Amino acid sequence: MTDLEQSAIELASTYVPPQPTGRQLVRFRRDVPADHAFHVLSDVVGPERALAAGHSDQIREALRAAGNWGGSVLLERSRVAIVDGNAQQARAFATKLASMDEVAEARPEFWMHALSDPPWMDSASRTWGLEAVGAAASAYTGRGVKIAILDTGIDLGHPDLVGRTLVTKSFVANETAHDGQGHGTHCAGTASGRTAAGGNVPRYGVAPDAELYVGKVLGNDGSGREGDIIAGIEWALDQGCDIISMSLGRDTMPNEPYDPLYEDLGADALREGQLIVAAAGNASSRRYGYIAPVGAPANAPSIMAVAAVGSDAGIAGFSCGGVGRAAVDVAGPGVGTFSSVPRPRLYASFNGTSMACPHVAGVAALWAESDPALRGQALWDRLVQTARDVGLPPRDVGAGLVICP
Amino acid sequence: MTVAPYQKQDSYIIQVDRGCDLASVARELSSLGFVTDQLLKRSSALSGRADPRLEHVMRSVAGVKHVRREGTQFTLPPFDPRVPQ
Repeated sequence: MTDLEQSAIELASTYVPPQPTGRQLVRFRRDVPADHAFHVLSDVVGPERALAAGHSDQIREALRAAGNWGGSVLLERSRVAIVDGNAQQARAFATKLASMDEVAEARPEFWMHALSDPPWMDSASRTWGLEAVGAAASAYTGRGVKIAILDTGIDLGHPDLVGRTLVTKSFVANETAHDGQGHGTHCAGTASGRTAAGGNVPRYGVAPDAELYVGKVLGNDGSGREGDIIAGIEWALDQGCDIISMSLGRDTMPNEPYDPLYEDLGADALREGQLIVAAAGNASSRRYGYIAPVGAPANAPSIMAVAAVGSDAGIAGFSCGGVGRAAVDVAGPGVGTFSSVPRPRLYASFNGTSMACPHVAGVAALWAESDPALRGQALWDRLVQTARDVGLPPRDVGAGLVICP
Repeated sequence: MTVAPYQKQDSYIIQVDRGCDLASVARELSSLGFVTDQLLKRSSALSGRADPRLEHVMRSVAGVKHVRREGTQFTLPPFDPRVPQ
């Protein structure tokens, strides 16, 4: 048996598809008032089978009551209806509701499972980072969401990119968007690598179906002029990218103020429904008790600063922290991160907040796909609200480890 | 102001008040000897090069909010698995 066949068998034996509960979830458009949504629901399932619930006590009570007689419950705040009944009937109701202008989406409800606990490990089917953030178990893949990676470019001939539409632009004089260094290919792979698990390569991209925009702002020598980086950010914003990932920066002095230029860009992005995430930096030597402040531009308050944790959920020794004026916002997997690198090597594992940052960008893309209203500040808020407490102080990981929907 | 022929040019990022016309400010700076590389419209900033002796003169141009050296500040470490990235 070849390695390929062995891996395929291992994959088939470990993959568990989402399990439907038999109920349907119907998501109304956010601009539809709750009372109107309830009328629509009542018209379809029958007024005697529809309930509305506004706050948590009501929701609990309504779901319990509806569960006894196969009713449907509208959750007023989220404009989501849980359509019960026998599975066939619920599907028929959902199909009818999905055809209505007021409804954005109708889909089966799935059983959810507790997130796995650390230590996380790479497996034949996915990397430990994808396991830690719940990407492998998520029903979302980033479809329809635009992610920009501003870095050293990408290996345009990498086999995992064959057939994939990329939007690329180089801001570095006399260099194409091709990655002659490696860093950009690794970061792009983590955010949105498309390799389906199989062969001897695990899945390593958090949002494999996202639309990838690659702006080369660092040259093949790994360095970049600020003007080119700012031009790259502006390009990504102009392209309508939902998430802009920047695994780059420079060290800062303790209590150094943030640069208003980057803060203005970050704030503009949030206002316009876009989100910029940046690596917090790797200047700490925690084994010697030194925690370096968050670097720039991650230290701008409107740019999401990303720290790195390891597979044991511990803070990475190099990860910069919220000391002085700047804060860490969230954390992502950033130790022993397996992803793509330029040919001929194809794949390798690296450490750094540069690796944590695209994990967060990928998770953000999954949230953005799950709800079109989650853009800009709303997306920032959701990432923070759903981050997992891994038992580390906010100084190190902010709100915690980002988690997929 | 006229300065003697310079020996070197430094790279600068010049932030411009958001209410001002970026191109007009760039033209004014150009007349002083600033060479504009990029008009960064969303950021209301210019990147370019100038004789360092012009720095204080550029600061005095109407609409200029902030002048600072650009440099090559963003540099990745060697792409080596042993080095945090």
